[in-house]
Amino acid sequence: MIKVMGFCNLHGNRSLGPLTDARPLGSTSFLGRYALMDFTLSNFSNSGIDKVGILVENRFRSITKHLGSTNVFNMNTKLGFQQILINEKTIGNPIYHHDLNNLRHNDWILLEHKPDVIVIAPSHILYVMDFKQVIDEHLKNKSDITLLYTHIRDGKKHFLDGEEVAIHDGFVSKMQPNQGMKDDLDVSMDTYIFSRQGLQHIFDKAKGLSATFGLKEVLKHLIHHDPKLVYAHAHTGYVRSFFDLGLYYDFSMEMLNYDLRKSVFLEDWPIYTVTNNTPPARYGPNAVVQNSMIANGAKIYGTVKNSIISRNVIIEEGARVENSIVFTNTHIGNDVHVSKAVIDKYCHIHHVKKLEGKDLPLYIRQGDHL
Amino acid sequence: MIKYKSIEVFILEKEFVAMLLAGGKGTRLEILTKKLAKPAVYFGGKYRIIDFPLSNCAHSGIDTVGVLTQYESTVLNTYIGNGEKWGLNGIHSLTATLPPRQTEDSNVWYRGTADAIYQNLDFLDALKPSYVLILSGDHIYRMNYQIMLDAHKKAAADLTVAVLNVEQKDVSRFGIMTVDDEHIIQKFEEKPKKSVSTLASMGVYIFSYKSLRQSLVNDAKKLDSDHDFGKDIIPAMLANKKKLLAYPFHGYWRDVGTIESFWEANMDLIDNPEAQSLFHSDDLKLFSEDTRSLPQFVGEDAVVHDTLINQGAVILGTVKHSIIFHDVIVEKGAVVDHCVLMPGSHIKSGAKLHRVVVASQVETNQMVSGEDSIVLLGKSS
Repeated sequence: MIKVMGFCNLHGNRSLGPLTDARPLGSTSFLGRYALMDFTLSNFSNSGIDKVGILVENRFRSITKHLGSTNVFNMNTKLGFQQILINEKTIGNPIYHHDLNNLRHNDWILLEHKPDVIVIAPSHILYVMDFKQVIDEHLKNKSDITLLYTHIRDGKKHFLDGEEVAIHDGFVSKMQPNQGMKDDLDVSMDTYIFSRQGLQHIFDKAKGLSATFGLKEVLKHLIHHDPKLVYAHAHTGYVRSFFDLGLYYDFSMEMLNYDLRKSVFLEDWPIYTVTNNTPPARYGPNAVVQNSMIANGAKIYGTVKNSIISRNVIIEEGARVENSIVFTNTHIGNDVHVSKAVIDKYCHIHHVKKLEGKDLPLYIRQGDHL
Repeated sequence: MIKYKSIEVFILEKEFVAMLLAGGKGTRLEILTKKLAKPAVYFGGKYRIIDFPLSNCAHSGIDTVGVLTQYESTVLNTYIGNGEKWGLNGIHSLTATLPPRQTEDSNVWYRGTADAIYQNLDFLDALKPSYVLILSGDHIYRMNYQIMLDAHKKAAADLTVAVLNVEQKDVSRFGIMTVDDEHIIQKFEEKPKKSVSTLASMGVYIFSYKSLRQSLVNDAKKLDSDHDFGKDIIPAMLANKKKLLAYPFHGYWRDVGTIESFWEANMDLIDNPEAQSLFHSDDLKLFSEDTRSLPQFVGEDAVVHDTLINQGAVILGTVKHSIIFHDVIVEKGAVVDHCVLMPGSHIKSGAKLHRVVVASQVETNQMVSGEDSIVLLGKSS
C-alpha cells in the first residue's frame, strides 16, 4: 500500500491586514464556524490521508488554540495525527525562514513515517479536492513532482500574489508571478504531489541554488531549466486564494449564495472543525433575519441582513447589522447600526452607534469596546 | 481490575460511580421510540435526552458511568460509545454500556430497574465504590450530584432520594414521600392515587454501596418482587429501618414521558426563563455530538421569531415559536408555528404546521393543526 503524508503549508503567509496581526490565515475564522485551514485538513482526511504535518511560519498561538489536542481530523485516533511543525532554527532569521527549511529541519517526520507520496497544500487557497485521484494520476505518470493548477477568469484581481503557469504537453513549462495584466490565465494552486525522491531532489537542488529559496522559488528555477520535470494537473471548480481583507470579505459574502455553497459543502465531503458545544441559536420575538448565516450559540434580538454571524454573538434588540461579518463572542448593543464591517472576536459595540465601511469593509480589532 | 470469572479488565477503583438506567422504551412517546430507546430521543434542537444526565455527571466530577441499556440498544450504545461526547473518556474515566448479558448461571433480560443493577453487581464490586448514584435517562434537568453526595455523607444515610414538589394532581405519576424536619423519609408511596404530601422522587438516588448491595441481593430472592427501586427497594429499606434522606432539588425538571409533555418541555426552552438556564450557561455547557453541519442559513424572505435553530438548518419560510434541529429544511411558503422539527425533517412549500412534532427525516407538505392535542408526524403519516 502506498503511504501518503500531507503537509498543510502556512508559510508565505498572506496578510489580511489587522485581521491577521495575531493569527495566521490558516486559523482565521470563516463563515462563522470554520478556520480556513479546516478545508485543507478536511481534504486530507476525506482523501484518506490522516498523517499530517502543519508547517507553521509564525503566530503559533492561534494555531495551537484551534488544533489543540483534538482528534477531529483523524480517521484512526492512534494512527492519525496533525503534527505542528515549527522551524526553531530559522525563526529569528526571516530570509531563511521558509517552508523548505521547515520541512528539511523537521525531516524526522519523513524518516519516522517513510511516506511514498507527499502532498503539500496551502491554507490560504480554498478548494475541495479528492487527492486520491491526483495521487493515482501521479503514480500512473511515474511522476516525481505534480503541480495542481486551475484556470481563472478574474486574474486582474484574483491570485495577485500567485504564480501564472504555462502548460505544455502535460508539463508545467513555465512559472512566473501573476502580473495582474489579464483576467484569463492558468495559476498554480501552490499544491504539489511529490514522490519521496522528488522531494529529496528538491532538497538536494535547493542547496546549490540559494539557502533563501522556498519551495516555490526552487520549483520555479527547476522548471525553467527542465520543462519536463513537473507534471501538471488541472483542477476545475471552486478555488479561492485569500490575499487581502477585501477578498476575504467577498469570498465570505458570496457563500450566502445557495448554489455556490452547495458546490463547496458537498454531502459526501464534510468539512471538519473543532466543536465548541454551543447550544442552538436563539431568535428573539422581534428578530428580523434575512439572507444570513448564523452559527450556534448566537442570540439574535435585532435585525441581521446579508451577514455572517459567528458563535455566541449577541445582537440586541434595535441593533441592525447589514452586509457584515461578526466574529465569535462579539456583542452588538441596542440601536447600533453596522454596515459593511468585519468585527473581530470579543468586541462590545455600545457607545458608537454607527459603523460603516465604504469600498473596503471597516475592520474592528479583537476585544475592542466602542 | 474488573474480574468476570475468567477475564480480567483493568479499571480504576472509585469512591463514587454512576449507574444510568437507560433501558426503557417510553411507550407513550409513540413512534418517537418505535426504533429508539427513550434516552436517545432528540430534545431541545441539538440534544438527546441522555445528554442531560451524562453532562451532569461530567460537571459533577463523576468519571465512571455504567449505562444500562436494553430496549433498542444499538443506537443508544453506539451514541454513548466510550463517553467521548461528554468528555467521559479521560485517563481516569470509564464509560461502560451494560446491556443484559448471558453468563454461566443465567440468561435473562433486565426484569426491572433494581434487577438491572443486581445483574451488574460484579461490575460494581470491581469498582469498589463507597457510593453509587442511580440515574434515569428520561429526565430534563441540570444538577450537581456532588453536592447531593455531600448531604448524603453528612446525614450518614443509606439512601438519599432527590425530591421536588409537584402539583397535587400529578402525585399519581410519582413516588411520593413524607419527611420529618430533618428531611428524613418517614413514608414512601409509589404512584398513590391521593396524597397529602407532594414531595416527589426524581428518580435520582445515591446509595451507600453496602446498603444497595444488600437490598438488591435480598430483593432478588423475592419471587413476588417487581425488582423496581420505587415499588420494592425503597419500601423494603424503610421497613428495615434504614436511614433514607430526601434531598430537595430546586430548579427546572421535567419528565418528558408523553408527546404533550415532550412538546411542552421543548417550548419551555423558548419562553420559560428557568428552562433557558438548561444550556445557556458557560459553566455548565451541555455536551452532545457535533453534526459537522454548516452554520444555519436564513433566507431572503424568511421570517423567524422566538425560535431555537441548530446548525445545518435552512430556513426559507416562516418559523415562529419553534425548536428546529440540525439539517432541517423549511421551504419558502411553508409556515411552522409552535412546532418541534427533528433532524433532517423537510417542510415543503404549502405546509402549514401548528403545534406539531415532526419526527426526524420526515418530509411533509400537509396542513396540520394540533390545536386540541399535539400532533406527531412520523414517516408513515
